[in-house]
Amino acid sequence: MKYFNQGVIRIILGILFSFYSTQGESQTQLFSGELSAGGFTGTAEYPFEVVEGDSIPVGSFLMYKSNLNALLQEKDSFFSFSGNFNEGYPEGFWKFQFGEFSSNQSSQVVGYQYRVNVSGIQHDALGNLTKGKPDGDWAYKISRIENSEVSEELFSSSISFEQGIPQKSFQIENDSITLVGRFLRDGFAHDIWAVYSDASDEPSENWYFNNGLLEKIEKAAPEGDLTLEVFDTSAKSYKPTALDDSYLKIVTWYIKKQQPGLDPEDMGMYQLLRQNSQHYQSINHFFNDLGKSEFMPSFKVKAPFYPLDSLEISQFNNTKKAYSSAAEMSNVLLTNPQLELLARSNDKANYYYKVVSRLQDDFLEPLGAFISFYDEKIIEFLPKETLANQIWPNGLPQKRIQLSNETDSDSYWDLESFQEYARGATDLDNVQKMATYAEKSLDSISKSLSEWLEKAEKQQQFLKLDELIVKETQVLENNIDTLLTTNRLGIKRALNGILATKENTLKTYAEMPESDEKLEYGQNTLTCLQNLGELALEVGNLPERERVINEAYQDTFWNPFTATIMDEDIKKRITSAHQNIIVPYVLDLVASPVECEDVTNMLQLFKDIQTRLLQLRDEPTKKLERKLRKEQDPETVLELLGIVSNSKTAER
Amino acid sequence: MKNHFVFSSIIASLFLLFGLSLGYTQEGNVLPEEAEFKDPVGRVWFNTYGNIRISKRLFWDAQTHFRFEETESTPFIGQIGQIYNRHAIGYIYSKSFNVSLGGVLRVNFNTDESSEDRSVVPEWRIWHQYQYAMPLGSTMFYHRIRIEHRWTQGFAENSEYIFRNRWRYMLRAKVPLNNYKFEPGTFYVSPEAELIMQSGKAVVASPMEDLRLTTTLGYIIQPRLTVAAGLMYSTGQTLENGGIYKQNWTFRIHLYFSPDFRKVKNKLPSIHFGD
Repeated sequence: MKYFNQGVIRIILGILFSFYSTQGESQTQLFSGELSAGGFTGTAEYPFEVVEGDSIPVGSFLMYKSNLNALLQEKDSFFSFSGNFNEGYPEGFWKFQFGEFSSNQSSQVVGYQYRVNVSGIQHDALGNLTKGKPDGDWAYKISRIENSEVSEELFSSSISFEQGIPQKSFQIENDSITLVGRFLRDGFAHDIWAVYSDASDEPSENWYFNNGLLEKIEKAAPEGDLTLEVFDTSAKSYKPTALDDSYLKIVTWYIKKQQPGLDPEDMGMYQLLRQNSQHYQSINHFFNDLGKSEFMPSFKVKAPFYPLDSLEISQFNNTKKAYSSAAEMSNVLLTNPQLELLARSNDKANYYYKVVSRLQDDFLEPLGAFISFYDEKIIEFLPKETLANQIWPNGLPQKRIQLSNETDSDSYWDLESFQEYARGATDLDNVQKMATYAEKSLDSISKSLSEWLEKAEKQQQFLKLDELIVKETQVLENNIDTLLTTNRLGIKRALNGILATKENTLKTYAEMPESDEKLEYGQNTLTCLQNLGELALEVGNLPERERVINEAYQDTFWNPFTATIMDEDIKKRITSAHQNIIVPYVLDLVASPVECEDVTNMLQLFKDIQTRLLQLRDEPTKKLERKLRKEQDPETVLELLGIVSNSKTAER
Repeated sequence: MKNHFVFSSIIASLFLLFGLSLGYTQEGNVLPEEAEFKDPVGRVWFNTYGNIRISKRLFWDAQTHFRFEETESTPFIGQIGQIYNRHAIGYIYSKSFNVSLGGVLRVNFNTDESSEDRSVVPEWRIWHQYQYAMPLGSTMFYHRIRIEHRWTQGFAENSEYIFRNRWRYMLRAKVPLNNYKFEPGTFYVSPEAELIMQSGKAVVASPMEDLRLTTTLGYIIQPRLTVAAGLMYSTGQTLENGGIYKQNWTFRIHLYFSPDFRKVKNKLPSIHFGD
């Protein structure tokens, strides 16, 4: 019913749209039906205009979903959104309500309505927008509901905006901590942003902003309060950026540089800003799916800026390219089960395996960490030399990778053709050289190993194939053993023919030298064995098939002399041609024996014969029966019956 | 059930007619003190029964019988007595009830070696028949009522046709011997009793024309081909004198065939008469 309803709605929508599309553009039309936006799916009603092929919402908007049955049975995910659009932009007052409720299944009649108590979580968000940007006060609240009453506030944020820019003071709180802070008129964080925990009146964290620049963080700790001077105050320049996840990563890096033991992720500021951002994001997704908007609040901050010049950008790009390629090769080798097995039995393979592991640990892992700052576009806010020194405190890894104290060639790895790089200097040029060295080394190792790995893989394939072939052979032999208990000589001969085919193909396979051709032949042999199994079943099933045909060619008729119903065989020429000519013929073909390539044709022939015979039962066949009278040649009989045999065995 | 009732009524009427007729004598012939039984005559009948389907409910009933009668010079098979052509169109009402209406041309040969009269004369009949079959376990029982309107004449030159009605009721059973149902390969034994009454101006004191008691052994060769053979004892009042009874022992050989020349599509479904 549910799918039926959806189907109907879609059909109605389709008709609606096709009707309106003939009405010409920029005329207001009404959408009413199922809609998906921002991960919510429900019923929506709103006017829209078609402009250059796009439908643009205009006017009042309503979208909702709730299901009483679902609520009563288990739980219901509900939502209700309302607001306005103007020329595709969210405009004016908007209200969002969504969440998930369950009920205790007891109801009460109040007034002329049934009242059902619900429990669960509800999100409420409301505020004004101007041209898609938050404007005025916005509140976002998450409440825990018990028996239709708010039992606990899980989250709450209230922020004032002007044209999307946060203003004045704001407050974000969850069930345990509260953040209070303020913005300048241009949206930059300013003054003290304080995090209070419910347990104390004193702030647990104070973030000191000065016109967007974070000057210090004071953090209460059991062993004494900490003061962290986060940013370098002597940087040449500072750049405005958004107070988002990337900014928090920058802060994290600066804090860890000073206090390696401290995990900034534990700080209340992080928690609350992330939660707030996540909730605003869910509404932002919804608006983005429907029209044009910039709902995400632009909390602005400043951070020290170390711009990259074009040479550095190219060095970063080259390093990244070399790293990606090396990481992929390393991953392929280290996760290759063949190499792991080979390493246990083969010293050289073991040597390469160790080298790759060392390349991974010493070269690629730090490189990955370094590159991630570039990838996430926060490298410009970090002093690169300090970053590199932090990642490689002892300088870059040695080009010659020493595996043991021995001196033979298997005790170390060194790609001698590659120019030495300066270990001590962690500048971008050297990092790029090191990355390229790791890439070239892995490339060389991959090439050295590839032949072995291919061989080992092939070996493995043969083992697997042999196993499958043996298994399939056993299945076939067992099946034929059972079927051979028949008394019918023709069937026995055919089954022995199948055994002969099996024997021939297995012999050829066994005698072939290991090669790609053998692998292919083996695959074909496997298929052949499976087909032979099917063919054996067809042959074994012939008496049953004959019975089915004979039964089909029986007609019940009323015998006037006994006044009883009798079965009579009809179209006997056809059934006898089947029984006396066709069946012995196909059994002979199978017994002859068939080639592997021809088994599928034989199978098809068996199936076609059965199908055609059952068809002929109800077709007019007077002429055919006349022609069959004297015909003894099985191929002519098949032709007369309209059965095409593609069997090559028959042509031999 | 309705058919049962109709049959019972008809059978009762026949017996009533038989009872009323007793005691009358043929004018000019004196009834003997006791019933006289003529010596039994031996006969051999070769009968073919064709039953040819022409539509879902109609069939053509085609029977040809060759009846031989012993004479002094030809003791067993005897010489040809009658060639008998019985044809009718039958209507299948249901699996167990059918009716037929048709005509008979019987060619009677004069078997009296001393007779100087005509050796061959025709006999004409119109007949209709009502046959009801009822199963009882694997045995089948059949009630057959056959009514014939018959014009006969003697062998003498210029003899007049006389008109009589014949009222026949036969009860027959067919018991499969080596099977629980009738199908190819089945032997069956078929006892039957038929009483033939007659009426008409010419019938004065001999309403019981014939009582036939037969047992036949049959074999179903194919669904549409059956053979049977049996021995029949029959007795009945002679037309000339109701006190004199003729007797016959007849060896009967039957061939039953029921071809269906209709196209396959017209045959189906062949058994759902009630559709």
